[in-house]
Amino acid sequence: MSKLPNTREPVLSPVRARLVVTIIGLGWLILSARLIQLQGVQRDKFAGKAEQQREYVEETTARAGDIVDRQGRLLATTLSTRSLYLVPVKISNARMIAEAIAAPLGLSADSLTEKITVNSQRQFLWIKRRLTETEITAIRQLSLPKGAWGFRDEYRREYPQGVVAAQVIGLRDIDGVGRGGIEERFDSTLRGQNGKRRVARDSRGHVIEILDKDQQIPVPGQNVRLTLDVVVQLYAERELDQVMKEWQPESCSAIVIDPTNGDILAMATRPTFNPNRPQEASPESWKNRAIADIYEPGSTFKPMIVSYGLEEGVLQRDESFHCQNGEYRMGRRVLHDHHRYGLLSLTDVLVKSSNIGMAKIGERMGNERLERAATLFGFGRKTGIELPGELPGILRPLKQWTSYSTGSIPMGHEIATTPLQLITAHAALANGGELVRPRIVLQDQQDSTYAISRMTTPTVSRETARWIVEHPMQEVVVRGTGKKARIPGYHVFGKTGTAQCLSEDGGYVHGKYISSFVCGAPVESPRLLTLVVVNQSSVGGETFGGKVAAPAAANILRQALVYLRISPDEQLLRAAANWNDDQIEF
Amino acid sequence: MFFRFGSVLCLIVLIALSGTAIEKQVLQLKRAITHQQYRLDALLDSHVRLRLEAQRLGTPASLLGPLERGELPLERPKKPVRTDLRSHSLKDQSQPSGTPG
Repeated sequence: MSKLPNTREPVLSPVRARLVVTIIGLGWLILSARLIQLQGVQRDKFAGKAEQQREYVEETTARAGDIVDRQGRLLATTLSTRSLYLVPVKISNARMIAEAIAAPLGLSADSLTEKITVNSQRQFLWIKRRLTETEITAIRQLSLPKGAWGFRDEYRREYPQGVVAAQVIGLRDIDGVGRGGIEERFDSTLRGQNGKRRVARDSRGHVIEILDKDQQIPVPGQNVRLTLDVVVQLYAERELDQVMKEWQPESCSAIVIDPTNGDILAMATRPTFNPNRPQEASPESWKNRAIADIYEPGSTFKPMIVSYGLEEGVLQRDESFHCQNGEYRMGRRVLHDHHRYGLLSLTDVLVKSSNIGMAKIGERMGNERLERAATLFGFGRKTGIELPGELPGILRPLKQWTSYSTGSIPMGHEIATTPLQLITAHAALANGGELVRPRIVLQDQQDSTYAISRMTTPTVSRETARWIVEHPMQEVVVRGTGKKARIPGYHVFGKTGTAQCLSEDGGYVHGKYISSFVCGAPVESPRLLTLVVVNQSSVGGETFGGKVAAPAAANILRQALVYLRISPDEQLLRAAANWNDDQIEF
Repeated sequence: MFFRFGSVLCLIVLIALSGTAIEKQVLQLKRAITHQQYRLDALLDSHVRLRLEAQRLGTPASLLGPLERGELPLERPKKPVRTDLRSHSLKDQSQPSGTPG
């Protein structure tokens, strides 16, 4: 077979073909080298850069826990809200931006322009925090330049009960830090723990994915349940408002306690504030006067001295004291009573609140026993309630006591107490002699055993405590200085107190008095104890605790008894129908 | 030859398109999951707001006054939660001038 001749001429000569192949080969080689450089050598650098553009870490703020009362009624809760910020470095026309956002936010365009201009080099500038829904919508509709502004999620604390127990609850400031009351004391429990999450976003900045890596889930704050009952608290608040209106004092406070376990059912103070509008609060209104005001207890202190005297065997229940017809010289000092009393039984010394009778008891007991009595009932030291700012009161060391003290201490002078200390001491008498640590927190989620932890200290025997409550203190209300605290249907016990105001230099303020009244019911088994302290009433020169404070204390007690389903005695109710109008005045 | 080449090319394109579609679906699901997470946050917030509103409407401060003045029409529940009913109503006992008898 003959070979067919090749009719086609080769396109490239072998040399040229080799050249083309070499060039293409080189091209591929260069591309491969570049690929290795990008994917191998510089991989981490570029991957990091891409990740930076695509992913970012956002902090997720933990929601603060709620504060509720013993029935679960909400006292404080947290709502999410948004705050507006600008990025001044990306703003070219500050005036235009300021004018656009000033109106919907209710701000001044001029001051906003100045603020942006002054901070023109900054990357972040708060404009207004915690916006309302209307403000958020209005800002969104403005179509502000992209990247020059933004919203940041924040939380806002709400107090749905308003002024109720404002000083006890305290508040959270704009940065979410607890200030005062439970908010401050339980800040770490309520606050929770912030988390963070890494998110991927698209080219428009929208989040497309929440990535699993580096994710820390925020831990919400724990709830705190208080011993307060909002209804009882409201009764106390209303009565204090009435006291402020009727007697126009500088301040006043009220406490309602369950003497059996130390649960504080109400703790109110006037003047007060609305924690939803803290900017309107006056400086005096922040103070929780139930734990941070100290004053001489006056006659409300006398039952503690008498009970300790009885317990020590220095006094006998059936003995009498001659009250020197209203004038008694004790060393260089002459003591006076409001009325000229002669021979008074021990019960009547308390019922009539005779200072001379108490001074004689003081002489019988001596300074050491008086000091032990005061210490035993918790005076001169903090009660330990879970609230910040509690004062320990004043109980001077025994070595500083003089012969004056022997007469003054039994009358409730030369000693200073907070309202909480005083009601705690009276709770010890009401519950049969156990000094119970008062508590305002019933339980928090973290520590479920909190409710069980109790601290009690024995003071006097049950018999002595019962006798003081059932005889002298009940008689105070039936026929003594506390008649205005009689409550139809209930056996009430109580004690009035009127003391001069202490000045800052340690002396007394002339003509200024603190009126107080502590009362409880039912006598047979006390379930509630109420204290009202009125600081410097200024109407009609009336200062007597039995007139200024007793009606308010009795009103709180009566309403709380009914609310808590402590039934009145029907026989007593019928008997009360015969009370004269001048005997029962509320 | 061309038929084989075309078939392989179509197969490759088909695989690529399927991959893209699956990738797109994965992305959509991720977006949906993310959306649900944000939605959960929003629902929790909505729950808090509604609870707050309910509590606001039922605060003792706003109810006690009308209750004591008899302005609220009260109806005793057929099955009361508590059996220890009050012998005297809050309305009767809350008035300071209410002498018994």
